[in-house]
Amino acid sequence: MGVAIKTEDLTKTYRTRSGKVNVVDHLNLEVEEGEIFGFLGPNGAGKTTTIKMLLGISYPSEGTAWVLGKEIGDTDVHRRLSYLPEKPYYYEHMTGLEILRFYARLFNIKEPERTKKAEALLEKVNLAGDADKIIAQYSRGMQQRIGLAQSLLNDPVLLFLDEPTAGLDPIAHIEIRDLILKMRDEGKTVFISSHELSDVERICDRVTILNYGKVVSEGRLDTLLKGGRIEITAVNVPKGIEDNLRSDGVIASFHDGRLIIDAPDTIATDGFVDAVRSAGGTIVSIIPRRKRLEDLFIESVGGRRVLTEQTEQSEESV
Amino acid sequence: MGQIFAIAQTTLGEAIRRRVLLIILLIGLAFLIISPSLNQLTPRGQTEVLVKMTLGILKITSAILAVTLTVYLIPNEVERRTIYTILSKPVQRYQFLVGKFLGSVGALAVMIGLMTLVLLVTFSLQQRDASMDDVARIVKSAVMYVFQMSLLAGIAMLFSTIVTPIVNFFMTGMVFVFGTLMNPIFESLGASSGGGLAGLGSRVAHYALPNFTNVDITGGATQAEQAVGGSEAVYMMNGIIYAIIYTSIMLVLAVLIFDRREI
Amino acid sequence: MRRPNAALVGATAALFVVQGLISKGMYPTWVARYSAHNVGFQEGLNVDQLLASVGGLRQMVAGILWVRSDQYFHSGQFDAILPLIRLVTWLDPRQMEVYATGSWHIAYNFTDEQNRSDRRYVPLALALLSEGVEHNQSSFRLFHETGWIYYHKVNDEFDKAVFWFEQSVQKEDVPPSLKAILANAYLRDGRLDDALNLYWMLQRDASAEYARTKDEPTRIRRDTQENNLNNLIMRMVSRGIFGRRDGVYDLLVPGTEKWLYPYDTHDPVDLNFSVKIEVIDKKVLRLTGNWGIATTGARIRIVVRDEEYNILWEPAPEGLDFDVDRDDTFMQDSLYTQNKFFDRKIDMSRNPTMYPFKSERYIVEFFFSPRSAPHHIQDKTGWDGEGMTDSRYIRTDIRPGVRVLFAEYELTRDMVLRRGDYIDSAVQMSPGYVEPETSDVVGVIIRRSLRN
Ligand SMILES: Nc1ncnc2c1ncn2[C@@H]1O[C@H](COP(=O)(O)OP(=O)(O)O)[C@@H](O)[C@H]1O
Ligand SMILES: [Mg+2]
Repeated sequence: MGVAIKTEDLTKTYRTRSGKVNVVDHLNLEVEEGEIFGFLGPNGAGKTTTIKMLLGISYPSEGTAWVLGKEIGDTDVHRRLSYLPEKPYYYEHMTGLEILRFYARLFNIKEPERTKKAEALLEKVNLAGDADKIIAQYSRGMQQRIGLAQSLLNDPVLLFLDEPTAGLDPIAHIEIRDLILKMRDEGKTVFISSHELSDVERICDRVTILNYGKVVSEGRLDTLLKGGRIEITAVNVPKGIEDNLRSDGVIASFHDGRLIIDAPDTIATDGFVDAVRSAGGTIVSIIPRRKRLEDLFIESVGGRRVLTEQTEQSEESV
Repeated sequence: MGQIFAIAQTTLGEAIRRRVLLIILLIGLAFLIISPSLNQLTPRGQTEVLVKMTLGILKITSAILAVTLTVYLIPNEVERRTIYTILSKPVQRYQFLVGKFLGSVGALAVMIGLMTLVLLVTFSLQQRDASMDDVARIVKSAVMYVFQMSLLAGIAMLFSTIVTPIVNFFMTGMVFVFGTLMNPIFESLGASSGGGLAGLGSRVAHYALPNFTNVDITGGATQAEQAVGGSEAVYMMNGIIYAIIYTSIMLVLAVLIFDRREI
Repeated sequence: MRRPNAALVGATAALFVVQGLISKGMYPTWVARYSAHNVGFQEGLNVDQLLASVGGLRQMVAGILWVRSDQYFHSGQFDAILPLIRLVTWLDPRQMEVYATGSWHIAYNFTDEQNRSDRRYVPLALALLSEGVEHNQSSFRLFHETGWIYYHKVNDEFDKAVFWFEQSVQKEDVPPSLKAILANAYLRDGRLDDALNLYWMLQRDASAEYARTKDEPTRIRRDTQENNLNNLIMRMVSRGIFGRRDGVYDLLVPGTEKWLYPYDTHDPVDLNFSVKIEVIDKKVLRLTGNWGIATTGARIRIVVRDEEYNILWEPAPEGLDFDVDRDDTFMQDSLYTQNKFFDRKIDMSRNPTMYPFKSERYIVEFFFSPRSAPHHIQDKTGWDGEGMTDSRYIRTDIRPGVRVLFAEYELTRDMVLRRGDYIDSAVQMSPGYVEPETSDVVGVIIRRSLRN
């Protein structure tokens, strides 16, 4: 497995009213070929800025990066990658088919292959029936699918998807997740940035969590999510017994004889059960819980900039 | 090259659908249609005045179109993020810029062509005594306008890599006014001051700044006078070459800035 | 392409130099052909004018205003016209049409009820034209128009018409058909040889042109020029010009006192001019009188003016910025003669702005110059009036080199307004005035013989 993306102290400094800010701060990443890479972080963490630098749309203030083996700034590698920007718009006066043909021309794809390819992709993203509608009549989800279709025109080996599910309904989430999985199966490298934690992020092989331009956590998702918890619910538990249990776990709630315990999955469950039962209580359920991405997020970003919908800041400097 | 044309074509398609531009175009057309009918023919035909007046309307409308079209060209792309999708394709920034520019020049040419056509039709319907000379004059002036407005668009394009659209609108407008007055100003300065450092300065400014009078044959007297000062065709040719060269310079500068700019 | 490409920057710098050179090369042509201030005309920069000349705005506004002023003419709102023309020419001084038509309007189209034009405006028209000429030196157009006002409207002082036409014919863009007018002006100015020369040259050019093109319009033009030339030679012969020069008429039959070739078998025609000026109503004159030439077609100029106001046929020194003084009275018309008399009513009562009659005393002038008379009258009088006499009114001091008829009478304001002593009648007449023999049949020539 080769390296699809590698950054070396990649830094972007913006001058703001309050002085210079490193919105991407000495970032060192490695994305391997063939993996789905999750680039996570709250709004304003620097995800989009990073992607723009990788695509040569924005220039690093410091450090550098390699994409598909070429140092950034070489537009030639664009033949082999593609990019689905965050909340993109397309020329509204064109039909879905025209848009795809237009982008195909940018890859120098000649007719009749151009139209053939465009039609095939429309089929693939379920827009064949809307090929002759103009984009202005497309819903957001349809526009996102057109975006995906244009990103597949050149059979890319590397895809950058910036917030691909932002603002879409759950069904669209699933559709997009399936498309991404299909791409991975075709051997493509997928770089997904997101501030949301939906089904899509769960399919990532590896994630990096970014905050204030710095990596706060990274690794394989299964490793990061190791260390689940267990939840035990019992009823008819008399008062006073809870003090004996406190040393082992956390009492999430105790009310009217109903006790819910939340403990690391490493605790001796049997001892717990025994203690409850011997006190006359009845075990209702024992539920093991895997660590959630949300938990990881909250841990990583310190609970300050969590998954609240922050107001988007202006990202353009015109 | 293919990329440039693809972008140009899309830009053209979008431009001729833009509502603001269509409104400006319609207002211009309305003026052009009304103005010849204002004139009741007098015993001594006044087509000369009429031709000049309608060409004046054509020119102003074209200039407003050119500026309105170009100041938003790049900012809109950035705002709608369409530029990101394009630049992530194997497209260089200069190709994007040149494509956008050619597209808007194409749109301008289409609009000026349309207005000229309407003007000619109106003339043929209402000014029966309009001669072939008048027709030739209108067509020649319109051709010059296409190049003149391309130069104006090139300047707006350059500014749009530096300033916001509104500021750009005024800056380009000022350059247009100044570039149109350059020769008269220089003429009167030359008449009064002459040599010296100030004279040198004014000469340098005169030949360095964009000069729209070079790309304009409307202001002159009738075709009867064309013999004076050499052939008109040569003058027009010089003007067109001048416009192309100056526009190219503007575009190169725009590319040099745009290449380094954050978008 | 983040680093500046040295070759690109170099090429751009080279292009920059090239555009400067092209611009420099184009400038003289622009000055010659497109500048508002034409060659030889230089004045300080007019800031207002610059502001107004933004893009095509100047021409556009000028055009709109011009159309408006034309509408004013058609609807008779004359007051608004002068300022408008002022503004239009100021906005676009290259609009020759505006000068040409504007001055024509001003000179010809301010008229009274009887379609007499207001001559007080002629100096304004000339001022507008002279301004236009300054801005449009390279075209014949306004030179020609100025000449035309002198030749046709002023119809006197033909040296001025000659002065303008001579410049007009030298411009490159003058149509050949407009050159012959200069010859006519020469004739009226008494410069027969210059006229002959010009006709000859025009005929020669037109023949050469026809030999080259062989097309119908040029053939017609050549024929016209030939006719012009032939007619003039014929007239010069029949009016004895060449004979007099050669001294043929001075030869006597040897041994006698008789002329060998008598120049003229007829006595000079006696104009026998006399006039009666009768104020038949307030500001209404009736002019009756005797006129010695029986042939129809001679016109006697009549002027009624304030004693202290006379028009100089020159551009008004103030230019177009001021309207004429509405207190001055100047009426000019001509008396049409037929059957050896004239009888004309001139009604000035209905146009108080044109004929305010504010002065105490008025001059009534009668003037006839053979120079501007039609050919058949000139055949009797000669170009210089050598063939005409009058016992009282022939003058040689009025127009040097020409014998003209000139008579002058005075009217007082009371006479014109028929008040005071003149409430019953107000008449002025030539001494020994005798009523002409008139006929009730108008328009019929009653003389048995037209010869005398
Ligand atoms: N052109 C810019 N000028 C100044 N600050 C910027 C600019 N672009 C982005 N930023 C700031 O950089 C930070 C990171 O932005 P971005 O990369 O878009 O975040 P994300 O995509 O992770 O939401 C934000 O605080 C944003 O306001
Ligand atoms: Mg973002």
